[in-house]
Amino acid sequence: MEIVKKIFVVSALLFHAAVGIAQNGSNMEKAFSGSYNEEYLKNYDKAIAELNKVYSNDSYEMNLRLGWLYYLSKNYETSGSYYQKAISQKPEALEPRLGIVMPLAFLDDGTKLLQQYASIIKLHPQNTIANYWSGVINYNKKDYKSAQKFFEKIVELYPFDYDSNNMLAWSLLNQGKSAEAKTFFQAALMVRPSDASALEGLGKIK
Amino acid sequence: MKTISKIIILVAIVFQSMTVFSQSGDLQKAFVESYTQEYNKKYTEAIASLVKVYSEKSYEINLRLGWLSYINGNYPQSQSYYQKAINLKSYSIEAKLGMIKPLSALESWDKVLLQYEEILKIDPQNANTNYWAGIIYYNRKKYETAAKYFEKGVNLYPFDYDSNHMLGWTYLNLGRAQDAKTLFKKALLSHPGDASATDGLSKCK
Repeated sequence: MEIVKKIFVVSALLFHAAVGIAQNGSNMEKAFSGSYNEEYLKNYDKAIAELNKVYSNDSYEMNLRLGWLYYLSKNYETSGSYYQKAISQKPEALEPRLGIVMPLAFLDDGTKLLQQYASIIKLHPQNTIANYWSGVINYNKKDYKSAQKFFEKIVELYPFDYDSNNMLAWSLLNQGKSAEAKTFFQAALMVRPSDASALEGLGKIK
Repeated sequence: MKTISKIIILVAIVFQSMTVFSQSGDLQKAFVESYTQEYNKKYTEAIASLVKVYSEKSYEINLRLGWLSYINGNYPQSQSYYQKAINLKSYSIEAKLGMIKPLSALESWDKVLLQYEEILKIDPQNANTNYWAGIIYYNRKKYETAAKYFEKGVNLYPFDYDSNHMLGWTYLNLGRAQDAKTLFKKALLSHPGDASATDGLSKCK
């Protein structure tokens, strides 16, 4: 009788666990699926509501996705806070850091933006997005020397990339390094012949 | 006399820079032509346009000829141009990624793997390279090695369908059903109803 009882308890536990997993798995999947459908229809509030039905603070995936959906619904503060939760949960992950830069850019928080790019570059020194935008931010601050370093990194890895060649050339030109700038404007023009910006830069070099 | 000398030097300098500028203009013209011909699927003509101004030392021309020869179906020639580009700029990832195209078309998987390893030496976190290196090892049933590449992808991009899904199958083949289950479920959050992840999940008993 004792054995039968034990088997019954074990079976019940297994059944309970199985049902739990099935519900958990399918409910989550269903909520995500629903949120994708609503996102596709640009019903961002409804997409958020779908996820909130099953929201768990501990779920990296939900925090990441809510970060994205709040960003799309132009609620940048909330978006940033969800992305921040995802970052705290997986500090080695690049994707939530690449996510949080989007609301930060809209909040016009240049300092935090640069900090995030720096953290991405720390994890992934060859990250082209983080290097390029760090370069652009520094360029806009007229810190051409710092900008140069970021653009140089990309040009070294992707020497035929228009954007980094063009921006590197402008950074050099603004430091008075005309001869070096010329080489990179010419490289940019091989990728995009008759590009207005590269031609303008080249025109400034006597 | 001194003035005449100065004028001669100045004219010589201007002439030299005009020649350089004109050479650079010829190069640009050749690139423009090659882009137009490529757009019109005239790959042989596109190659000919660049060959007119070809210089062994030009990374850009070699890279572009590597690409044009590849789409023209001349894989050995494509390989040779890409190799020249790699030799000219050894840290270039784009040239190595280019080289992988003709090598893959020739199904030279060992050489493809070698290029991936070279890229990962320069850029260890390169997501695409880690993924495709993992695929080659998976197809060779080298699941332990494949797992290392997919794990890197999952750690950096934990919501990425491809890496979660492939790591799920890799773990399943290593007999790590519980770990596989977690990954298939994550893959299903990115791609709900995905047939392969659902199939994998059903095998995780």
